[in-house]
Amino acid sequence: MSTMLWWGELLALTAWALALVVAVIALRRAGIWHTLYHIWAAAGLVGVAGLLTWLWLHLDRPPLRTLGETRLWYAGLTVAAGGLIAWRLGTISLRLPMLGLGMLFLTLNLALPQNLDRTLMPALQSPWFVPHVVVYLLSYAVLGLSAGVAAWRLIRRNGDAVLPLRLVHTGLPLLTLGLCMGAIWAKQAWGHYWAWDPKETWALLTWIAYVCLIHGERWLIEQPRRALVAVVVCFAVVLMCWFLVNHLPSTTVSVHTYTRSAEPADQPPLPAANGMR
Amino acid sequence: MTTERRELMPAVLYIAVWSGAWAAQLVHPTLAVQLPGAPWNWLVCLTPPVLGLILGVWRPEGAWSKGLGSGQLAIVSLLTVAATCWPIAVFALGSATPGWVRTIGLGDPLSSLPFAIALLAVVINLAASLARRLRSGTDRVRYVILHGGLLIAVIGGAAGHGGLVRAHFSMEEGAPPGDAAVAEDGRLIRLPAQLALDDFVLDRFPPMLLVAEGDRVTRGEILVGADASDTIRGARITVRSWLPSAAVVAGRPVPFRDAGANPAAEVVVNDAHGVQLGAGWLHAAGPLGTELSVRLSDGRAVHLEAQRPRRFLARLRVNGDAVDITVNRPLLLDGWAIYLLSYDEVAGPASSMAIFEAVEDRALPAVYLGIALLLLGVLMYLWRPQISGVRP
Repeated sequence: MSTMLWWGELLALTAWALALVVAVIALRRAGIWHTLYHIWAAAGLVGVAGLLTWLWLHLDRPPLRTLGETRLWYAGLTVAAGGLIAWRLGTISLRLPMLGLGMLFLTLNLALPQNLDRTLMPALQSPWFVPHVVVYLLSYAVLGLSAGVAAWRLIRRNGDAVLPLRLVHTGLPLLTLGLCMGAIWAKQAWGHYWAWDPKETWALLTWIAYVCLIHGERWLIEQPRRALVAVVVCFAVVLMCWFLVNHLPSTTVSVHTYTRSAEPADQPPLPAANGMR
Repeated sequence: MTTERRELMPAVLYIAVWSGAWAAQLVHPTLAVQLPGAPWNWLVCLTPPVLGLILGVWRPEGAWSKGLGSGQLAIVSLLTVAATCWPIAVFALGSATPGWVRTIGLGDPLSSLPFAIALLAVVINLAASLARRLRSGTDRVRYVILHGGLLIAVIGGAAGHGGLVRAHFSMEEGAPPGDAAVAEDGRLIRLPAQLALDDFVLDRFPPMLLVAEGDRVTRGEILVGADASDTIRGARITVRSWLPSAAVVAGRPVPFRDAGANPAAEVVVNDAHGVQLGAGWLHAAGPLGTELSVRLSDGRAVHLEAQRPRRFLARLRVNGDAVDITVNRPLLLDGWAIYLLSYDEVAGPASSMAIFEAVEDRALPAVYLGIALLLLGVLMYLWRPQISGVRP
């Protein structure tokens, strides 16, 4: 099963790599190149959506449990959200960051193959599981795009912070939505909507970082370079909350360590978390 | 002093007060701020925002009102919340708290004076900005819904924390009904109904195969059952016989029906060319038998992994009526929520007892109202985002 997934991810990565090449050509030449870009980007997206559907059916559970599964969602959501926002705003500035992020996360999955299994601990068997995680990943996708655009503009010395900030205005509401869903779910599962668990505290720190950014944008917009740096720094907090928290001493007391028993594929077996506190 | 500087005064003053609070915490690292119990918790939690609201409504254009409800104070107060609670995110607090974190007064961040002051500032800022926007300003509806929702949720959460009752009790299958639970402070609590445990059920997923090579273990991808086969690191493992419930007697599995029994599988292992590497019985260690594994001719070993839980369920009788409690589905009973907390983990699936947690949180409706308003406001902002200082 994981072999098929690996080949599927490689095909989607190839489609997006072609889309990236075509997008670069389309910067100078119009016409057919734009159409080709759309075709290859859509092909990769359809491939990722197909892989997720296939995984969901074969695993008999939502494929949202392991870091590898969430990376696959993230790759798809980044390109889907980026394409939708680019269409609404009528910009081509999102093409490179969205394909770059999508390809990065697919490459990570190819480099760190996942062990797939059908088990799903009782705490995750909730109607809140899918909406909570998907909304969070969608917010991370949009905020990742904002950081990607901001970083690119910092490198290119393009001092326009409007697009990254506009993306933050889309990502922060989604982040808030995910946070609130998580609180309601935690109340149902564990009896408290906020327990100051390390992961929850990182989620709060992430939210605070973006709320501060939005409250300070009136001043930041006059100094776009600082605004771009702030957008990148805020996304660094997201990465802490998503990945690096698993490597901090606090992870030993976290109840949000669902991925331990499944990742990476080769490791000494750890006691499976039982889903109760 | 210019109006602009006067509006900055509350933020500057706040930083001074917060720094003072942290200095006090440094001098007295054990200083702890605790909310009183009900009903005083409501008085303590409602007074600051009410004062902020009154000030904002009374003089919406006054410098202090503007300053207390300003974006600057919002940023500074939120950053101080982050500055006090970050040790929870980084360290496993408690006995493992690093000494230097205690030295800087953040050994117990949530009870620290600077955290209390930071939370107070957030609440006053929210209330003052809300009141000012209620009286005047553009973009009023969604601003008031979002910030009002957040304010209600924060006040409800803080007050609820002060008045929260959390109690534990355990029940044995077949024991007579009872309504007693022991609260965290040692008080005996009477629950609003007589409860009895009819049955505790622990369903498990079928086990998975493991191939061990030195200290490196690779897990298979299938759930083992009759006629199952899996290929792990080049070893093709096929199940020849399957005992869904077995005990190990004299090193050999025998069928044995018991809730605590583990399954056993007789497997044959071949390499990619069909050459047999080993064969034998697999069984995960449990109360009814030791582990059985198969040693392969290439030095590796095949094991059966311990089964993972699929579902916890407690069948209760509540005042004579049958009710099920599972993880994610607590029993709601006259203001109490009763959660399945644990069971006899040594006995595992054979456990005949269950441990429950009863929680009474009278502020929960306020928190949920706040969250609902916050979400509504968030969706309104998501629909039409607008960057300050930039035309839509």
